[in-house]
Amino acid sequence: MPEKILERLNDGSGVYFEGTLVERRRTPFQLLEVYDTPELGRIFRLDGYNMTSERDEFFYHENLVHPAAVAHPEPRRALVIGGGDGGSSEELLKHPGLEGVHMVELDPDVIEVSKAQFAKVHRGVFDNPRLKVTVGDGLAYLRTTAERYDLVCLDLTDPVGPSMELYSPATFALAKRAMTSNGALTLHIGSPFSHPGRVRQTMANLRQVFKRVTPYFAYIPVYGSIWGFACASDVIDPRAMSASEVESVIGARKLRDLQYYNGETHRAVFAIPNYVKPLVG
Amino acid sequence: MSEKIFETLNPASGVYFTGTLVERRQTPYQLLEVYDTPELGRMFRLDGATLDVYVCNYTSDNTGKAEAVYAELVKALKPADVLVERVMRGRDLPLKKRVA
Repeated sequence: MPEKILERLNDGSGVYFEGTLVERRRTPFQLLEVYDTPELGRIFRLDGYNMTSERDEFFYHENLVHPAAVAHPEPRRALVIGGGDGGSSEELLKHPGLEGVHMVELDPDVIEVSKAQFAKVHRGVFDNPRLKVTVGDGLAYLRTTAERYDLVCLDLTDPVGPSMELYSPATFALAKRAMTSNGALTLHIGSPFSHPGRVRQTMANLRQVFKRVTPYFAYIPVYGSIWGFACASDVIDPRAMSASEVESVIGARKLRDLQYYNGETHRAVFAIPNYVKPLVG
Repeated sequence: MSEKIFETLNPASGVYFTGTLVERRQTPYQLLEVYDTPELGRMFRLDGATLDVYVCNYTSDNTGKAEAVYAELVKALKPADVLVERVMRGRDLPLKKRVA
């Protein structure tokens, strides 16, 4: 039976998609749901919030990964905390110089359902020998790892409830400890229109830890709003690249199957509207 | 009364805002509505979809048939949100006696 799947942005607004329930299970960590929708194809939901969809996953995953990955001169090792759908790992591994991506995902059910139902998101990345998957607590991993990564993606649920701690200055400091000196961290920071407080707080927390924090924005259909991201580093400044420099990196690394990202979108996502400036400093 | 105002983008998706109706009127051209919402403040809407079902009650009371037609249309069109207004025109006039 088709139903309206509501994606709540805040108390007063949201987006909806018509859809039919495919699967619903309560994992030890969260409520996991899969819906089929005419608008976005298959949608993946955790605890009543949309995570990704077949048709729009590239909006989020390409923007989470490529602005920092392209700005980094030679990324060789990457860490994904969360990201159990495989979408961000798949984008990272488009960069041929990446020797390995390490995904640390808390919930094995997320990986199992993604493998089975979201081939259009992970595109077989779980079979890629350059991907290493660890099921476990990403925060605990950051506390103990001796590895040093060039790129770290926090590909997490929103900073509400138990995920809140993962957006704290303490966690960002742990991520920095697990990074090379010119490494870059990327994450999503919420909607500047629907969650201005969340955007402001996350930016402030990042600035306590990193010298260069670059906010950027893209519309994400499955979230129903313009969405904020940040690239945090002591060295990397993705804004410094021109569109043609980006295009030559895309060409040199032979990045393929890009449905969003190009030299011009790389420039465009860093354009900050005036109403957003007070939030991101 | 706060309600969800659904703004349809296409038949399969859209956005919604919670809000309270401030004013609704049918102009000669369109349905005009004003809502107050926490997210956007005052919001102006034109032609949130309307469906009118008219029946003539001259020779007999067809209200039941109108309700049935309306229910079928709602079932077929699957609107996101339904608000029904029943207007009995000329209700003070006597119905013509049914011809047996």
